[in-house]
Amino acid sequence: MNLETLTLQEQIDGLREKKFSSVELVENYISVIEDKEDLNIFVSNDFEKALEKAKKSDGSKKSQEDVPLNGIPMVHKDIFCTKGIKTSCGSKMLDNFYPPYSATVVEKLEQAGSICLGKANMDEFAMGSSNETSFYGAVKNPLNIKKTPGGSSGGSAAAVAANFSSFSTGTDTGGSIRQPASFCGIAGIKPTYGRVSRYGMIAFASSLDQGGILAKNIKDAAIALQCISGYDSKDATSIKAEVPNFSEDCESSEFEHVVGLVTDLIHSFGDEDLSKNYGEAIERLEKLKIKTKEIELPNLELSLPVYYVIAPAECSANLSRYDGIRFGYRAENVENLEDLYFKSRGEGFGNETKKRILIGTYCLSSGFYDAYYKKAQKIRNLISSDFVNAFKDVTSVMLPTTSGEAFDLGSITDPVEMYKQDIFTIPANLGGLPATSVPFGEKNNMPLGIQFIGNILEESSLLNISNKFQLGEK
Amino acid sequence: MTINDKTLENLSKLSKIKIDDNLRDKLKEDLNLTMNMIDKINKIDCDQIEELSHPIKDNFNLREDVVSEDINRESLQKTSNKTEDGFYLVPKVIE
Repeated sequence: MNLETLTLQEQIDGLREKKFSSVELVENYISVIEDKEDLNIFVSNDFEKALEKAKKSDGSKKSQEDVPLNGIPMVHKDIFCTKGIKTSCGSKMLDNFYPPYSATVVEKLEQAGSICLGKANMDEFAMGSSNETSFYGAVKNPLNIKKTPGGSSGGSAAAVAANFSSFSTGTDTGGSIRQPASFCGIAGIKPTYGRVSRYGMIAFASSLDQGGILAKNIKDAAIALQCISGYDSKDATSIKAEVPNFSEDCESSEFEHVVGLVTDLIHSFGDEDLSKNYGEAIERLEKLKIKTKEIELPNLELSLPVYYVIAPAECSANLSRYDGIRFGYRAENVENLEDLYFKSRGEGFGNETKKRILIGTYCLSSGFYDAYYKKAQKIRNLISSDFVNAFKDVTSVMLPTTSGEAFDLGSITDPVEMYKQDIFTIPANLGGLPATSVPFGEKNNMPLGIQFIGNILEESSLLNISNKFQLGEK
Repeated sequence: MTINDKTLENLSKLSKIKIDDNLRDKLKEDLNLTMNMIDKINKIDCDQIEELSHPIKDNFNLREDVVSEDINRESLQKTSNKTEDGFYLVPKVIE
């Protein structure tokens, strides 16, 4: 039995039925990971500790209810703080950072019994759509090593696609879970903003960042999402709401769906392949006898410029904490305190991060605040209102995840072309809405993805429609 | 061009990021491409629309202002490579 190719649900069942042990699972994964080192997926690993934990898990008498992921290996995006384990966020700035505490997501998954195998490579500070901005070099797409795995959670997506684990954690500020999931042919979910605690998740753009899950399929994503969700007093934006049973709801027959479609909008992009895949997705919904309704999202195209004001503005404030003094990279041979700041930040940040800090600084600077930041927040309201209106008539909205398949590493040099990668994923972040990416279709032998966007806190319904869609006809 | 040498110098000062000379031209080009894309928002009339700064309205759950856990100074300061007697060391600021 190839243990590494099993789904999370199959691993949970197999461990419970003692078909194999957690130690065997971990050993299997270590062997795969060592074989595929060239993919550049891990920034760091701790195999010894993982094996120790697996031994403990195998001897555990705890119930399935207490530790739903007992003995299950997994991978964390290197944006989540792990106590005493290097947390680099893909940056030279944090190459020497060993956090004194763990993120709530990390603690929750430990409490659920899972075992972290390693930390996944990512775009620097989650700023990128191809993994090429990482200080550690780009991750290669396991399906074709010339291609990008997407970003910023490219390492997390590649880890699942390359069978380094059955699921991984990721974060999504403008599409960073869904786009790499689509490029690597796997499933991903970004839950409602506030569903998953941001404590210990290194900040990029605080009103947009949200942690989530990448997995082989939607059912597995639901199981893992259940374990990381819930109110956390350490995050003031965490939502005080009951966490439903996502894995049960995912397969329930109780949900009624009306899927919102934007066929004209998709055709307006003038891309035949994009329209064709969207059309085939609609056909699948029809075959599944799921109701659909054409809706309008008139401001969708404004998402891109709005996002590239708000995200850099928030990033310029968040990343001001890197001063070279309390943690992170500290420049040598400095003349005075001011010089220490300038050189530490100049040498510690990569080019894309610098660019975004400078754009954010520009948009927030005296004389431009109203024209850019304030205006972007107003248009953010328009975009969010489009979804509020849509959800009066539909239960979810279907969009492509990306406009195309994974592109060649190094092939996009124009920053705006790269930013356009996120045109379909950004709106969900601006509205704080939960959204999934489900593998569907292919182009040039690479996978494509279809995205479902749900209403605030309606992950159950969202997972249900996404699962139905992924499974297709019975 | 929105961002010229003078603007870039000012942004560098405001954000306290040293910009290498060999990077300046490429950086200016990229920043201007991005600002051109962003400038689309100037054509939108939304004077009457309220700003949305946070996606989930009225959801700020502040906890009680009491110490819930301690992170001791020693473990916290391990993340810095220059400390002494519980203080962070910086270049001299007062002559």
